[in-house]
Amino acid sequence: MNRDIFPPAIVNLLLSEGQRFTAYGQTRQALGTGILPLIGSARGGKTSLAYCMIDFVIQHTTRPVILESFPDVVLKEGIPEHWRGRVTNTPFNQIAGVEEPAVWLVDDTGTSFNSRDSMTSNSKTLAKVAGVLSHFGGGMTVIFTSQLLSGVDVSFMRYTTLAPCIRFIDPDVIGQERKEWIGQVKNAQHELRSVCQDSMMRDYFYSIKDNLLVKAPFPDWLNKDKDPRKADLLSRPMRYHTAQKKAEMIGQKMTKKKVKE
Amino acid sequence: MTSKDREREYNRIAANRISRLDGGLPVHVAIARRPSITLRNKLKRMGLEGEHITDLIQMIDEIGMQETLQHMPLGVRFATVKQAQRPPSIWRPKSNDS
Repeated sequence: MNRDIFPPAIVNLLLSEGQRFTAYGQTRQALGTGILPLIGSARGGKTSLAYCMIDFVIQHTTRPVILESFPDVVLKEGIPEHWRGRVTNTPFNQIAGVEEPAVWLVDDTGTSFNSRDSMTSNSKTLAKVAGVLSHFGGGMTVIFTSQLLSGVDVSFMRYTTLAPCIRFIDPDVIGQERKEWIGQVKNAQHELRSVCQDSMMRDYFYSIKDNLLVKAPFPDWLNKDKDPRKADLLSRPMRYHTAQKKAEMIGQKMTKKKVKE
Repeated sequence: MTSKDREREYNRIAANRISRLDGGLPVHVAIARRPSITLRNKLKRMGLEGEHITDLIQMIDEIGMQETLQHMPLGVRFATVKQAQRPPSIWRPKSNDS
């Protein structure tokens, strides 16, 4: 994966703080801290794009990668060989204990950090962390995927540097997007329609910060035809959680059995 | 939604419906002034045709359109200016792995 595969706003957050890169003929130092929201409808390639960004981090930096709350089986069997030793699945609420400038992948934020759960401890952690992301571990980057930004607690996007990437969003859903983003999301869909050949417009994504369409990379190790099990482990990791963990994720409480008197 | 927003939305719906009636209105009827129609009719009755007649019709259309646009905000007027279609902006990596 080439170092300039992504446009400057994305590279700026993926590289370590101070790492140099070239943008439009000028050498810049990477910020190395911020949030990359990847937005798109289900099966629209959000998680695949997130993995490509993680792969970029693994190839071009020494930053550790954290696949937030991913099942152990994904780390054991799903991830590509060259990621081994670089990836953990630390939960986000343990971010204060991480001492290195990690890159986090928080997949399907709509479930874990939903705007309707804004006062749960997990969401509060996320909201507070956004303000001090540059302090923790010497500057961290969070990549999160969601189907719409309106589903994510707004506090998460208030304080830090953002570089949102937009993929295909179902036209019937766009009306539910936050008013501060809806214009850009609609514009991104218009731009994507002008170049994409794929019915789900997975061949490109739109970088809002760069105002650019970007060809979406798709590495071999994500190809279903090569290894369907590995591809599925990575494509929908939450499927491989235990039933109890899945119930916890959607907020169901385990009922206590009543003792008959 | 404010009343201004509602008005804009209603106008968009109305314009959209008119554009579907018999394939929509010709430009000179939709945004030029009355002389564009009367002059066409007069020239037709007189049986006049040719390049100089086309130029005359074009001139009266342009004058009418400009009169209409005079009452529009600068943004609307600017948006009507003829321009080349912008190609999509795509990130093109130079692929110099450093």
